[in-house]
Amino acid sequence: MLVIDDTEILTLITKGTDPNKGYRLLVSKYKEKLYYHIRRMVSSHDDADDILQNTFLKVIRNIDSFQAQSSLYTWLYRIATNETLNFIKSSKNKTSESLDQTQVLRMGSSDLPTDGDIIIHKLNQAINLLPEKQKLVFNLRYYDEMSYQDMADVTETSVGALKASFHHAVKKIEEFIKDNHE
Amino acid sequence: MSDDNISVQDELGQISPLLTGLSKDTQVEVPKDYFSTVEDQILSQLQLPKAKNIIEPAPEGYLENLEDEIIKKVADKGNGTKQSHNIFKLFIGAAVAACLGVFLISRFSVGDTQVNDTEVTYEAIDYFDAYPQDIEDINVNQLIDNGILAEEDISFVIEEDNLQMENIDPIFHSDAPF
Repeated sequence: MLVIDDTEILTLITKGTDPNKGYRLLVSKYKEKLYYHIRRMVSSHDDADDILQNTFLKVIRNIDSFQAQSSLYTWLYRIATNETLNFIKSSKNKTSESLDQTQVLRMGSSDLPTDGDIIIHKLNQAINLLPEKQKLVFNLRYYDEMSYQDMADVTETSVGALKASFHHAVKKIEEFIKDNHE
Repeated sequence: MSDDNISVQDELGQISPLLTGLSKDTQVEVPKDYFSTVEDQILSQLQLPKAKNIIEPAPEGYLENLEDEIIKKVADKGNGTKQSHNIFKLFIGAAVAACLGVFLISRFSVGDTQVNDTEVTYEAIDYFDAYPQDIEDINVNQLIDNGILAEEDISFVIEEDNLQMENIDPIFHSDAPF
């Protein structure tokens, strides 16, 4: 798959050479990464889909205000993160299906869960027990393998605070898995 | 700081070897073909701004004449404002002049009245000093001589008295006992 440079996408959009092509390339390049980033936070596909679409619409409609002080990649993640956190905040009182419940359903459809499945299930349970912002930090670092500097751009938090948060999150998860391992 | 660029695997190796060995598969279910259709779904929503172009074009010559129209309106408005300012100034001037006029008139007229009043008062004092305090002692002829009373005034009073006497009910004014 051809990986297109962010600068090239921005040129197509902002210089007006072919904005529609630029939008398509932008969505195509980041849709999966952002979808999973969102989905790890909200668990329901429909919610993640709504947030993802809103994120891209917001990005495209405000792309003129994007300043190259940060990378397009971290800007996209920041908007997706804010959209997700706003959604979680607004639907705090609503009962939503959690990631571990999805996992249980999925495991139930297969014959027998493997040890790997059980540990991943425990990992997801542990992640869901983390406070929202700690969960966000853990996901960005663990799943998206983002550098601390990029995480600082996304979350507008200091690198030191992010390191400490990730460290605490890892320790909590490890403890949970050990305590709940049969 | 070199720690900032450390890979996640290396960092996890230092703080939690348990997590280092785990699969990173999120294992969430995503509807089939979702990622191939979501792109069109998003981009179809971006067609909305294009709808603005469907708006009927402006009447012929509208845009060409627009700047002249605006300049004319601005100029008219400016004149209107100037006129209203002038009227306002005129009104204020007239009000000030009227106040000043009233003040001056009242000032001078009050002064005259006071002088006249004083003179009248002095005259009155002179007159009354010249006559006795008891009204019964006043000599009518003296009053006529000094021009305070005219003979016609007295005759009128006499005539009036006579007239009144004629209208008096003779029974009730009779001294005769009932």
